[in-house]
Amino acid sequence: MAEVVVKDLVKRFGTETLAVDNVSFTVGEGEFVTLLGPSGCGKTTTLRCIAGLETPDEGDILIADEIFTSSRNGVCLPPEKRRLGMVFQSYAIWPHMSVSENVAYGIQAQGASRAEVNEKVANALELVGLSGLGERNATKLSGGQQQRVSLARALAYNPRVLLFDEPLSNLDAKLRERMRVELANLIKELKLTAIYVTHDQAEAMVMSDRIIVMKDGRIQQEGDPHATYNEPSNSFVADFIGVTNILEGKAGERENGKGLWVEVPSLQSKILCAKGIDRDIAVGSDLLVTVRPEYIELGEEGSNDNNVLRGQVSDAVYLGQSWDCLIQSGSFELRVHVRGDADIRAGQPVTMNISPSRCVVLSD
Amino acid sequence: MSSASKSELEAGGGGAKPAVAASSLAGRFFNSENSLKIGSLGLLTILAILPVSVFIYSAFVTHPEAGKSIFTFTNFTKTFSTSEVLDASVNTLIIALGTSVFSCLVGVSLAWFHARTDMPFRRTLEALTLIPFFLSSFLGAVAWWALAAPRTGILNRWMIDLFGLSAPPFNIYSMTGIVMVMALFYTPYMYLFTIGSLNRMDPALEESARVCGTGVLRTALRVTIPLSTPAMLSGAVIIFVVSMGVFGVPSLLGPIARISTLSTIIYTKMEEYPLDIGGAAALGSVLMVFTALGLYIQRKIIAPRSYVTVTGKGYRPSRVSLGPWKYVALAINCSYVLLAVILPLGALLLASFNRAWLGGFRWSQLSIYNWAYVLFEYEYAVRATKNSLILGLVGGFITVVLCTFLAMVILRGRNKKLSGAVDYLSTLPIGVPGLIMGMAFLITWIKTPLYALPMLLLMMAYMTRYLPYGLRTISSVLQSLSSELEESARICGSSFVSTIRKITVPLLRPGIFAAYLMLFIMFIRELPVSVLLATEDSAPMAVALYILQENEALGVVAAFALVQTALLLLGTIVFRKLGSLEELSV
Repeated sequence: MAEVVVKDLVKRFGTETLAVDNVSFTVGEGEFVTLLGPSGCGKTTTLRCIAGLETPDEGDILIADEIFTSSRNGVCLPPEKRRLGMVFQSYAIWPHMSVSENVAYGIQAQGASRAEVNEKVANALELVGLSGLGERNATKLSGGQQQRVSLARALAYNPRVLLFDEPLSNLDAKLRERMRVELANLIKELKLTAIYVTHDQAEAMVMSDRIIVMKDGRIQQEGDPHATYNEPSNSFVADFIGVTNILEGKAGERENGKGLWVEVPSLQSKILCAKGIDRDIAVGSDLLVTVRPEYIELGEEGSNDNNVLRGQVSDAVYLGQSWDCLIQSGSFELRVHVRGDADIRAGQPVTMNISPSRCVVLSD
Repeated sequence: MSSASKSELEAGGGGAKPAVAASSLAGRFFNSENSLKIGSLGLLTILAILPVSVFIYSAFVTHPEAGKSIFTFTNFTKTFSTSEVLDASVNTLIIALGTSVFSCLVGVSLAWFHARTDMPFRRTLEALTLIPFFLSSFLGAVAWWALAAPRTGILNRWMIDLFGLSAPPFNIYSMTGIVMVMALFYTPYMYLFTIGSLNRMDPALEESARVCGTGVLRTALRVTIPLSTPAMLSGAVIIFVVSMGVFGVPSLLGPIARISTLSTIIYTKMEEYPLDIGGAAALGSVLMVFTALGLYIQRKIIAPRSYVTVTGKGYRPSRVSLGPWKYVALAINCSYVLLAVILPLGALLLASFNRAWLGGFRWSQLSIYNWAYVLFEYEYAVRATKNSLILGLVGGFITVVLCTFLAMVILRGRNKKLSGAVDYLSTLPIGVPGLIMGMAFLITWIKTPLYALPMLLLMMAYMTRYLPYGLRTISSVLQSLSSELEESARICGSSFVSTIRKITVPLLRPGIFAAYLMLFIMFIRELPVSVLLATEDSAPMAVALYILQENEALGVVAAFALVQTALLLLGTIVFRKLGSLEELSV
């Protein structure tokens, strides 16, 4: 369908607040990209700029080579000229219209014939699994169904790009989990390009081809879910996505082809880090290292290059599939996830080993 | 993306595509949204700014001889050096403050009882509570004059006969009397200002407070009332401002106790020899400064608080259970209805069926003479009825269209600066008391051809004067509609205008009908704008009532007042049928 290009986007509210601060990214055809971040990070504002609901102060937005917004040219196409689809958090179902009328609205706006409208409405309703509910009063439906109406409405007129503004956050947890998968599959099936805004990292992981993590109006990291999780670029991303240990240390020497030694005083140890070191790091400079709890393994086994740490279990919570442990090592309490079938007791001395490829040096 | 458009962007848009060139910077400013906004500004300037400017100008000008004018402060110094004017200023403030405080207390309580509690007989009392809204405070003054005038008042007669009192217990010719009548008749305004937001509030907001452990009253005080604060404060300030400029009540009940207000003095200066236009304009300007000050405070308090209490999701209203307190609520509501509806209307009814009125109904005097007289024989009264109907239906319609349009222009769209300007201009007429608006239109247009069309001039003046009220009714509904409802239509490909037509207006329908009804009622009762502006032929009902009250027996006045009341009630019933306003409880 379309390639979305967002370039140097800046949006201020009033003179003080910089909601979006120089954001640039592209979305390829058929790609599902998620803008992820805490509230106030500028993700929704960015989405609304793409939709044409906000006029950015600076920057360009192009879709399929067409200039939608360009501050230098003074162009800002109104939303109705952009042929996008958008699903809102509140669903924004029009209460004075039936389900069909809601879905038909966008098709009618394009001046389609009656037969065409009916066909497309039926198709859209079938896609979202609401066939037969067309004549219902839309606001009488359940939250999940309203959500589907809203999706059908956005899909019905073949928009170039679908925009989602936290569409699942008003649903209950079970339904939300089911809708995630269903929605992602539907979008892949229809080969749609989608930009999805959420603060829910699990949602972003499950659904996206690529995640753009934002904070304070700036992009923190861009990458596929795997890379974002395993190689976070800074402590914000590491901490925002999943659970992690963040260690303060000093850079040591590089070990050829294997990684960088980092002196971690709180662990009273040196650890070898293999990720996040593709840049100049002066020996002796302060840096942060992150290690995910599930990548810390107990026991002596493992390859020879693994970092080995000794410690004592200070607390262990049993979660069924795993143990969530705190293990004191030096003056640091490491968070460690251990398989549920292991035998763990508080006070027990343990040996941990961590592959250097799981130790990521952060950029801040 | 194509290399062509990429390079254009990188070159800073030197040679843009044709599509891009069409919407250059200038094009971006003069888009359809902005031209609508600028158009509204122009219209409001002609309607409101022009007459008010002429009015203020005339406060600073004297005409020592024909064709010569001098810029001067004499009008102010001369007028305000009299103790009469200083007393009147104090009286005006006391009346305004008393009216807004009492009507706010009663109006908000009643609105809450009706919208959010399980008080019994709500539907009946809802209708009864709103009746004073249709009656106008001036009509109330006429009725209370019949009830509580020291010697001839029905209530006084009864009390003296029942308890053998030596002196009449009530005196309506007093400050207390004026404030009471005003407060009684402005309570429904307060009620209407609040009930909309109370009705539309997501009950989960209250329920969560209850779950948090707060009781009924505390929830009302901490959650419900604060959430409707914007609506409530608007109401209270508007009532304050309106009652400062009220003319009818003090002009009827004030003179005997020698209580004058700024508006009664302005009227005297404009109508009695020697005419003092400069002095009247000076007084009026001061009154406007007071009202502007009130509005400024309102903006400062209300502007930072606006709540979207309704989401795009469906919601179900729920009610608070008051327990035994519901009978207290019931008693409060019934007392209000007694004082504001039953007694006044009862007095007028009794008086209208006695040809000669001596302070009590006498079967021997039973007659329909008064009714026949005002309905058929008295040409002036019949013409006034016709005029009022035209003004209410046609004028009301034009005004409601304008209000809907302006509400949209103000609350929607992206150019917030222009929206703010339109909002400001369309709120300004609140700061211009009716009497002054009438006077401003009179001195602005008197030497133009427009003055030959007095009905049109009246309509324009009404429209300008009452625009803010209609606008507020519609905006409050519009404000509580999530803008996502419209945004999603825009994204679906429908333009600004067609979104208004297909999404906004249908969703606003209850608000639009409520505003039309409100304007119809205001126009039918209108006194202060018309009292200076209307000619003998174009006099509407309220002006006729004012003239009748000076020259005719109470029976005739009462009958005519009841004809006006009947028209208002009839209009209301028809509007409610058409707009299915039951749910809106207007």
